[in-house]
Amino acid sequence: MRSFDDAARVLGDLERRVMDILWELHPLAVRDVKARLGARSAYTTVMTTLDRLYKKGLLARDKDGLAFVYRPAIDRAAYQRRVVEAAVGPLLEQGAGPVLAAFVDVAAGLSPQHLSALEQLIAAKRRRP
Amino acid sequence: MTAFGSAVGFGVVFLLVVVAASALGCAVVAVGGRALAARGPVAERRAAALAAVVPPIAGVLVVAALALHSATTIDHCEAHDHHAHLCVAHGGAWLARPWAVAVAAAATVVTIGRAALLLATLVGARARVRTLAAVAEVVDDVRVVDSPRRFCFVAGVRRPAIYASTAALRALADDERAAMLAHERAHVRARDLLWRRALEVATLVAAPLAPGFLARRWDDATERLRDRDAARATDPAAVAHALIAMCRGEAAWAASMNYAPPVHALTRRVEAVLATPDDEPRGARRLAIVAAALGAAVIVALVAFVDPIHHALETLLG
Repeated sequence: MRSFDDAARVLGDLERRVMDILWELHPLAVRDVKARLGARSAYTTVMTTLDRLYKKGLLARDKDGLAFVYRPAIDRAAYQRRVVEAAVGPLLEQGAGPVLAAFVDVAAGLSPQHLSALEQLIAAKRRRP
Repeated sequence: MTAFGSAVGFGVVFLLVVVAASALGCAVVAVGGRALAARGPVAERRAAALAAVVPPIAGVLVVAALALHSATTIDHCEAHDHHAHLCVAHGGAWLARPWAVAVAAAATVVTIGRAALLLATLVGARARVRTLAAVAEVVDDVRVVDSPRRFCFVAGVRRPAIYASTAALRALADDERAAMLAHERAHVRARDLLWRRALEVATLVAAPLAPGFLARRWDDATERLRDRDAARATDPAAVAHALIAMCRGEAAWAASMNYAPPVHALTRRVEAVLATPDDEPRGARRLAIVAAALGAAVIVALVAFVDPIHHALETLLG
């Protein structure tokens, strides 16, 4: 199974629409999801998409007779947070560079003692303008 | 095959000039570090940019001068055929020199590799920034991203935009937040990311380690320069406090990654912003004038001595 970071990066348009449907209403069987997607989506395409989302860890499924019914394994807000984390982490690790200009580079993180010493420096500067 | 041989010969000359000039440029920037620092971040940034941009320009000028010389002077190639000729018409002998072909091929591979790496970085980052843009809430000119990590940055070259996390905005006092955003707005106004990418492209063919060295120097100077802009627009102490507050949030993360940060980086920024002068030192302008004068002198020398340079390079390389 792929990691969530990969899933966040490669969620396609149909996958996102399927997730939106299941966040609104669940659990749903393949035919229910297909009905909500509209006539253009083939049954097998929807089934494959649901299976892919299940393997990515975004959906959970239970047996209902012969078919599976699907429900979100993660709520929309948590998903969004993890998408942001997956996007932000690599960006910040690049720090200043051709990609972005960060206010502080994560590489500039210092120990609390050093940060306190710097605050004392600012306070001293304020005392003698 | 003659044309290909000529391309190999001129390619080797281009590489020689660019690598030598970029190594020299790095040495000047490294040795003159203190003198440049005394003249302020504008001078430091300009020195790094010159060390990145001048070598490829010099390489193109030398190759153009040699090619023009070989095309416009009476053919000298038959008079001495003991070495390969830097000539647009008789360059086939370069293909009989395996070292020249190997050097040209290796330089091509390294340049393509560097370009591919840059492209991959930019494409990956663009997708991530788009993800952030899709979930961000736009407040004035800031895209606010709901995240527990403290960050604030500018992304985008054509339409640069400021991204700030809710954690960062909550962690800062009003004056610190204003200082941080003033810093980022200064990046946007100056189109720093555009210049930074130009620097990456200029160093695609440069001496080993030169691209990273010059980029670090440019980045460090640029951040201090934008700190200074923010300090002038707000308050130096607010900028310094904002830097520390942002680092407090990221220090835990750095520790969890077992990352040992360079201790002096933030200290230098805080000290520099607290010592923000009212006026820009004049050193930066003087540096540009000296660089322009040197460039003009090199071009004049190249035109005046193109024949001996041509023969010297043929003897050295051919």
